[in-house]
Amino acid sequence: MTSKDKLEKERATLCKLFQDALILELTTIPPYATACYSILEQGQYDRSEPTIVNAEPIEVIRQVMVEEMLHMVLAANVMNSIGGTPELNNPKLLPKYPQPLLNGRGPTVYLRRFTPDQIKSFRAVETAPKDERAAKSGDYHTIGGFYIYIRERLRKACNTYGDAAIFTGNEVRQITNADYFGAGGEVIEVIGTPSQRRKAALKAIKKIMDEGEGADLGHRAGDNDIIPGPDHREDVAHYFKFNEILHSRYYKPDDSIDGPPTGGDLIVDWSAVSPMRDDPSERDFKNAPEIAEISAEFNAAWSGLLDGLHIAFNTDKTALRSLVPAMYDIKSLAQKLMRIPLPDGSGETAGPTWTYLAKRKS
Amino acid sequence: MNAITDDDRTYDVVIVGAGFSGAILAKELVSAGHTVLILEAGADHGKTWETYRSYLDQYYLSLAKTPNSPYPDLPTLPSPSVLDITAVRGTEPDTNGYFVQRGPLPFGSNYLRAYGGTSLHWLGTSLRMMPADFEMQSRFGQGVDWPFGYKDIRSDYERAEWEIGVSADAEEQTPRALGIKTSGKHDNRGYFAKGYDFPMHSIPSSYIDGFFARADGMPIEIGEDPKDTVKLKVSRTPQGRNSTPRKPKNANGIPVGRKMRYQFRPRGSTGPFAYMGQRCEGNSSCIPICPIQAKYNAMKTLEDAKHIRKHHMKTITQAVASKVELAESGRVSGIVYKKYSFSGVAQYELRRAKGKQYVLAGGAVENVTLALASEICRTSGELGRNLMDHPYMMTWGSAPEPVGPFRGPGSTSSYANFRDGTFRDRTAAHRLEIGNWGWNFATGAPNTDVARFVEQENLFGKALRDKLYHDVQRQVRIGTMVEQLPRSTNRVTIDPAYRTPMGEYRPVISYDLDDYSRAGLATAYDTCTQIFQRLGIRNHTAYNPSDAGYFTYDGRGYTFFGAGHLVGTHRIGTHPRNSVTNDVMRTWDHDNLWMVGAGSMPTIATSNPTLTMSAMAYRASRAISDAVRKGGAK
Repeated sequence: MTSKDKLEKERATLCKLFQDALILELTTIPPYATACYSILEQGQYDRSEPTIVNAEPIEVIRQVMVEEMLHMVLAANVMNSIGGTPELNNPKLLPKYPQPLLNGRGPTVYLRRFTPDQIKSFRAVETAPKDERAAKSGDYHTIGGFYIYIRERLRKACNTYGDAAIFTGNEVRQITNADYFGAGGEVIEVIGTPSQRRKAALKAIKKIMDEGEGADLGHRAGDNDIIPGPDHREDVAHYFKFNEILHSRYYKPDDSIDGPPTGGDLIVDWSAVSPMRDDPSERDFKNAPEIAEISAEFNAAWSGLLDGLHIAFNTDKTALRSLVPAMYDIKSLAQKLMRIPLPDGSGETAGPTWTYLAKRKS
Repeated sequence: MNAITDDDRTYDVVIVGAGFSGAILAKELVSAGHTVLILEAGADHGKTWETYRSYLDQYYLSLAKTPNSPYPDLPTLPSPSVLDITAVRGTEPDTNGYFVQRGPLPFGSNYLRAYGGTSLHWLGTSLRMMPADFEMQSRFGQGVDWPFGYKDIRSDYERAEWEIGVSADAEEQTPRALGIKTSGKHDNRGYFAKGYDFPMHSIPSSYIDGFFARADGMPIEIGEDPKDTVKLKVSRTPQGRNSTPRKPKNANGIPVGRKMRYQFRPRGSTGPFAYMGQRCEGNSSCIPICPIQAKYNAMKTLEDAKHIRKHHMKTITQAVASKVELAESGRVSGIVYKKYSFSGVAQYELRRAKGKQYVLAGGAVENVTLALASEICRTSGELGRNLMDHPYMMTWGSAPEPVGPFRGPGSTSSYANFRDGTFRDRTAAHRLEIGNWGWNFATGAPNTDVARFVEQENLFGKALRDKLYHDVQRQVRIGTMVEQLPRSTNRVTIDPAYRTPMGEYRPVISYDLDDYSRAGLATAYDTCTQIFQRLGIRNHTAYNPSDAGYFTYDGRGYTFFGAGHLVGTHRIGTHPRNSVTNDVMRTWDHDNLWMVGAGSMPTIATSNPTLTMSAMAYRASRAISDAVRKGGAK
């Protein structure tokens, strides 16, 4: 094998890894969103006496979701910078729930309503790797470990072949802060000279890792990111956000990762939740055409979102802006499904299946 | 009678009111190292996020979604409500609401008495004034001139725009770009300082804006002189809501109020969830409440102030300022306030706040009732007079095609063409605001459409849904805001016969529209009908003589509402005989008393007053800071 072949092979491997990262980030969003949307919103709980019910866990999960979306954009930016082609609407790559993560090496994620068990499973998804050395050599079982491996592989490739040989992508494809909606933090553009790009790419990966697991931040719950606001408060990593819900208490960024959170109260009412069937599937709606219709509508909206992301990452980044209404559609249709009881008398309600509908050729 | 207890601490500055002006003053003064006390009459709503959430719940549950509907209206602290406005008949005043209305026309505006003030339900429109607006008397022989000109306040506009976080593009906002034939030759020159730009890019235009833009270029005659003919142009409105932060073109940043600033970081909601609301998401309830706080509210600035120097700022809520006390020297010696423990229960403790300097920043009406009750600032006789608003008239119709209303912010664009021009010697300038929410404000759509189709046309089921979709999708509306001149007879007074359950004076308001404003409204109506004709919009506008704000001009009838822009009651000026305060808002009569807010504005012009009021707060804050430094009694 010539060194050129080797380089091409390495670049292909890196692209594949970033494609996996992109799908990995995407895969976590439907379970998080399903749990979040299953929480009955305030006011609907008891119309005669509006009380604030679960507004805080809704917001905590929403924050994690918007950061996952940011991570998708970061992964796409790095992938585009090394000349890859992010794929967002290839049915073969898209998750089907229950979905094991990391090709079966990681935990499995489910579409379930907001319960302590479901939040525990989210926490498992965002767990920091125990053995960084093993992860570096490719033996990883968590998302954090996976990113350690990617970072290591990218670094090595740059050292072997030179930054210029790796970062060959077109800068036009980079999503900027002006394109991205902005919630959840700021986008890192992988642009400039090859060495600047390398730096930016590694920074982007680090940001994903910090915000997710808070792996290497000196045993603190903080994620190194300052929330824009007057008190310059540091945000905490996802693992700890889910832990906050389970403990009904907020973390302070300085809290040790081994101890419980020590901040203010976070009120959680586990009972104000739609009784959505676990892992709903189209089969559950067989005898209920009106539910099937809404479910189809939901899946069409979800598919539209994925198609839009695919376009934004590959051809026209302005498409990103028009996806905001699509996300609202997804939310309201999901909540609609979760309020309709299934006809089987189980007392459970329908829910979104998050199925991608491939474009029909017309 | 209650004895008055003195507060333990004496502050550098005591501010009455935690709204736009109070917040900016507090932030600036605390930054300058002074200690500040804010007295806020509103119930204890300083808990930011949780409280805001409860406002949202209240909004979702209220049937009439009026501007004040999400917020508490307490017997201890009534706020004026648009639902209370009725026609004033004969000599008997209308006492339905908090205001006592003497007429002849009802004053149709409201405000909110709460922590954050009316910023909680403003639309976010953040317009600068035109250079001509500061020179109404010398240019048009109308109203009065300001004691300073546009260029004198320009850098304060910049500060205010970066504090509020205004989304707009400077190149789109010069008088020339807006399609205004300015009355002064050089008004366009230097409207924005060199290198200046807004902190964030414009909010995207709505589909409706694009629909109206089809009439761009259409000539409209205004006045008899053919030279005055303007070409219509839809232009985007600067708005105090978060969009995409601007990356400065120049590596040194953007010059803002003589300081270089780098990229703006949008502030989301106050409280623990600052990641919420960093961008406008197009929710269509800016008035009365932005569910994610993407729209600026004064709580954001108040939070900043609290964090700059923790022990320098104190806020006391549920504290109704009741009397400004004077020492023999004529200086203010304290402010007596009624501290109520339970919101809604009119039981209170009398306390006295003490400071070196005192600022009334409670809004144009509340500042005046407090000053009148305290019998201060009497030399000029102008206190409470020259009350102005933007009389607001709507024209509405059906577009020939669906235009997608009820989405996005209440308004994203307007016809700004008529904000200045030589016609202003006879006819009031005005701005035609393009509405994004169908006939919502005009008829109560879409709820009233449902009722009408069901009750009058017996529709139900699919036919009802289809008809609703068909009609509502075509609803368009233009709102005209016309300038008003300062008139001494438009005024706020007090009368011992009218008091709140807490024993405070209710504002007694006399109000009328003069022919200058009426001519502006009539002209605007004609313009609207021409636009409607050009775009094939069927006019559905109906003004009914039984409307509270019905008036006639030149043989035709129209209806106006208030715009919530309360201006002019304690104006700045050049002399103790023509104004209540000097040009930095220090009262002529009392050396250590300042009156800040939209009440300071000598004329209202066509811009929504918030931005100008905020810029003036910066002007006042420098002078107050100097006064504190010089210190000492006379």
